[in-house]
Amino acid sequence: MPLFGKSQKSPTEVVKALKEALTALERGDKKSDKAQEDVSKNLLLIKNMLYGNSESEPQTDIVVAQVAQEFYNNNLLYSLICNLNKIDFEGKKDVAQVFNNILRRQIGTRSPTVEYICTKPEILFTLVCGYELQEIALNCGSMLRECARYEALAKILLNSEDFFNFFRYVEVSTFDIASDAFSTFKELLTRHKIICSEFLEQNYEKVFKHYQRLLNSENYVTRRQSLKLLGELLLDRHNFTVMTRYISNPDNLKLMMNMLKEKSRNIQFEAFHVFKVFVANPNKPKPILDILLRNQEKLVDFLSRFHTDRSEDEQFNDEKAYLIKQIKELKPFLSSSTVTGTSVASPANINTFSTSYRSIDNVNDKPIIFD
Amino acid sequence: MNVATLEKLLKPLSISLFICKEVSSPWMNDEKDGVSNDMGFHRVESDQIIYRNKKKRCKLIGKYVMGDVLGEGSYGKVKELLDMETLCRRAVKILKKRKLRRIPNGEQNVDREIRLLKRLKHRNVIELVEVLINEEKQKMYLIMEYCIGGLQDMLENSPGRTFPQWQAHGYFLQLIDGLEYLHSKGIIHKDIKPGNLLLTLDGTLKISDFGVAEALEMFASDDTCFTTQGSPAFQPPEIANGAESFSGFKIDIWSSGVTLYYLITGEYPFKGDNVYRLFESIGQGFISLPELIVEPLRSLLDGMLKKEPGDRFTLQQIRHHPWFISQPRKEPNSIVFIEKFKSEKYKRETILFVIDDYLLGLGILWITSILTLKKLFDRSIGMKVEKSDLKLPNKSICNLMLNCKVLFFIHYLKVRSFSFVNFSRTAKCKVPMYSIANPKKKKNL
Repeated sequence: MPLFGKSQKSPTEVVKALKEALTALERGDKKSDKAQEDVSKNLLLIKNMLYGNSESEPQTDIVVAQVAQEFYNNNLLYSLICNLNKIDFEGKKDVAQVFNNILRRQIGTRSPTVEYICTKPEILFTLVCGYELQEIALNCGSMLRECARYEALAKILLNSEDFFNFFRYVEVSTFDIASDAFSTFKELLTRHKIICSEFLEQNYEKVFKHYQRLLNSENYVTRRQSLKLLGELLLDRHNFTVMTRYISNPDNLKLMMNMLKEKSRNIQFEAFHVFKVFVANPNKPKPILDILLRNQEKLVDFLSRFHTDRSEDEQFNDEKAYLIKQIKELKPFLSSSTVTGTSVASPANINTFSTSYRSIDNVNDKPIIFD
Repeated sequence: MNVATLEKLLKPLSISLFICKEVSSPWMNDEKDGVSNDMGFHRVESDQIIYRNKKKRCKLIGKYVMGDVLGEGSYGKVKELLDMETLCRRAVKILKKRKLRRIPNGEQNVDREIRLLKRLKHRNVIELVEVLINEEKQKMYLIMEYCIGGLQDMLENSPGRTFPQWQAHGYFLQLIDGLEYLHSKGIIHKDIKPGNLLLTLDGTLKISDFGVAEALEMFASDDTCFTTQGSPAFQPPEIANGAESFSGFKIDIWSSGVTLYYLITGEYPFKGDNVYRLFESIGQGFISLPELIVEPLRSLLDGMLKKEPGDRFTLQQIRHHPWFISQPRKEPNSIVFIEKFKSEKYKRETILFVIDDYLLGLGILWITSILTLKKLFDRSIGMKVEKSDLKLPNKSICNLMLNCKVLFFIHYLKVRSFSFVNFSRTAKCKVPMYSIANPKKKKNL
């Protein structure tokens, strides 16, 4: 408590005043201008209690604890976020700062706010929906990323249906919102290795169906970012099972081969780092092997002229040389029976063979011809 | 003893260490002056002596100015560098091919280290900035992020040879972050120990020295390894007992556990007069934690130092451990500093002095840079620099000073039409290093 100056309101009073102002704002009657002013004023007071300002030091732990406790009791975090778009510009930033501070609070090994939000997950879902509104998207983003640092909260977010909204948000036309959403998206998918890999394994079909859309996006930035993230996810050892699953799907291989031929060199380069995983796989499933064999010569030819100006990058050149060698040495898939045996005896086999053959041709009609 | 022998005895001294405080400017350090001043024996008070090495030559490699030696390893020296384009401090590991060949697997290890490091980018893993090769001198320069010191040195200079728990906690958190990243990339470090954990100026921990690290095959189904060359005291029981294959990730967990134990107690959990005794003691895997280690740290160390790799904690378990989550209160009074780092305003910057000497040698005075600085200030910010400010430069002024000096230096080189030949990876590269010898002769710039 300061010794002199204006008598300071206690946390309880300030929070109560904020609560009342918020309710008024929510009702949206004639006095809403006044209410908005009150909200901002009280938010600033609370922010100064937590962070201190030029004149005063941040308050003691006891005051911070009181503020947090009042917030929980009044369910204020939720109502602040719900009404975020009605608060003025500075106020929005203050909300984010107050939220992040209270979230980081720790008593010994416990994080009370994290535990509190676990019981009120609607706070998280409202934050995710914040990306829909341009005015509050970035504020919500900063709060969400702070939440994503905590495993328990990240888990709730990943396992919610709302997570799949991110596939839409990262593609929106406003660049700063899209990239903010992407960094939250990436944080959620990479931060906590164990729960991320569990999530990807359990929701493989759904996630990669959505992910395919990102890779085919009209938006160059989305395409490039998502391709880069894909490489990072697949090459992370925690996601080993996901990787083996991904690289056994011939559609994925075709997509990567097409991306190798993209106009943008950056995309070509990123695609290379995913493509190499398909080729390096010692146990290539038949459909994958077939595609590679079909395009064997073209691929060798293409790769030997692929990004030749990257002479500085030794690692890349080694990998390229390795891939070329691997592709050159590819042998047709031999099962226990003879080659003729398989191709004649089982019609099912022929069928798959011809479909993959056809799909290659389709691909060839598009710009995939390696010339 | 006659005069001649006395002179002989004194000769090396008079060359390598002299000048006293009043006349500390290097250009006074001229033979002529030295001779003319007084022929006899000049008495210098012991506190007036400034020990000074033989005048440094200013060396350039590529776009870097070379500074002092930071440390020395079996492969060669580590020196400080300054990037003239970005004014970033860097460190360079200089490897001599001749020396490398003598070390078993030397060249292979270095090659592997470079390959590994190039793939890595993480806050807590040392960054390899670039690799330069000078074929003519048969030298290789690994240019790395600059680190001010390592945990081992700090421990050795701290009272009680330990860190306070809160400081060790901070470093341990960063170690685990870095380790998790390495493991996610399929890399097993195999030589985690305080000596390989370096700190940058802002106190960020960097895992370094990937000389014996191993990268798992991309399609390896698990983390089984067959070889290890790490430091004996940090090896787990399965290696001490001579197992043929072992889980790689668990080795790193064990050695991180030993490291944490060492940071807190200042001792190794296992001891032995020689490697055999040491391995015998490790192999038994019996550990008695000292009384001063209390819960929750006790159970963490216990979990990390389990004899059976299968029982040992995983990174995930460490992350969830109460000690890991807890935030020990900072006690600034108990902090262990990097030696000399506390009070030194230039943060052990060595290049500044090289350039300083050099500029002084050229007859460009310190005052010139101050004047430029003043002009710069007046023009851009409209702020005046008081003389008193210059006496005790604060951080930003220091940076600006440094800036000015380097600019001068570069300018000088350009005036003298030195071209900067970049290093190339090809064998035919020209001698790319300029050592500007004897700057005194170029006084009349």
